[in-house]
Amino acid sequence: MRAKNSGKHSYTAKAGVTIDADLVITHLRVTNYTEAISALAERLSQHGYVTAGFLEAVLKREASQPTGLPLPDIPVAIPHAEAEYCKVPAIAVGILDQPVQFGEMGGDSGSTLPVQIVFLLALNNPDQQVEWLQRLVLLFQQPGLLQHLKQLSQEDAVAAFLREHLLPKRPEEQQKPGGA
Amino acid sequence: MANAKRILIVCGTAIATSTVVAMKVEELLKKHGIRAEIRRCMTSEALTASKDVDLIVATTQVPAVDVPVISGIPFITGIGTDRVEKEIIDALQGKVKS
Repeated sequence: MRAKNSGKHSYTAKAGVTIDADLVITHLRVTNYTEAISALAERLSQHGYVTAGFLEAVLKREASQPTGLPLPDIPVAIPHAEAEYCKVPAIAVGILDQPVQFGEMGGDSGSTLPVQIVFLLALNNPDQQVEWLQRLVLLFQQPGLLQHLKQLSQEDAVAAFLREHLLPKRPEEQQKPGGA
Repeated sequence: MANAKRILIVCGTAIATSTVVAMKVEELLKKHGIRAEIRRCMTSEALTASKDVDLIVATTQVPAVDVPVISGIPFITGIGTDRVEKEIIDALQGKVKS
């Protein structure tokens, strides 16, 4: 069984992680983090990226190891599950109409953040998890990018924006010298 | 010269965030010329693994341990990185107040 792959995003295929309009929900109206994660997990499931236990695994993990990140303007969350639930690597993104509270990563138990953008990660091996966490961190740390993302209302615009900022331009450029 | 320090990086699964934080800590130590051994572990292993380290940098809540625990979240969010870098250096150089 294969995930839907129209072949229209060749960079996506090369990077091995799909970022597609089908996996984006803008103006997501939910009242708590469980609903937010469920809505995004359903997209991943519908399109064949994850196995049946994915949602449950993500919710369980989120309850014990919350993933809300205290970014200055727009707190985000990066819920995820163990690699075994991923069939085809992908990232689903929800831009919330109204923030919902997510537990804060590394925070005191019970501390929460009003999260506005959720990146639900379905990644299938530890190296990929590390690589994509780094890519997301770089995106989060660039001033104004999340603000811009939050204002996009079209799913395909969100997907295009994220592909532009998260995917390597060419596979051989994945390793960048230096940092900062 | 002091012996190499031992730093434990703790995260939920010992995969993603701890690896990213470990790389940042490694860069930091290199910059300051501090020799250290960096290990990673999951939250559930932290108590045992903390017994022979000098410092813990964590992206999750860590149970009460006898060594300084510093939050590694700034390495993920980019906020307060300077301060946390100073905390780590100070802790390794024995300037911990507590």
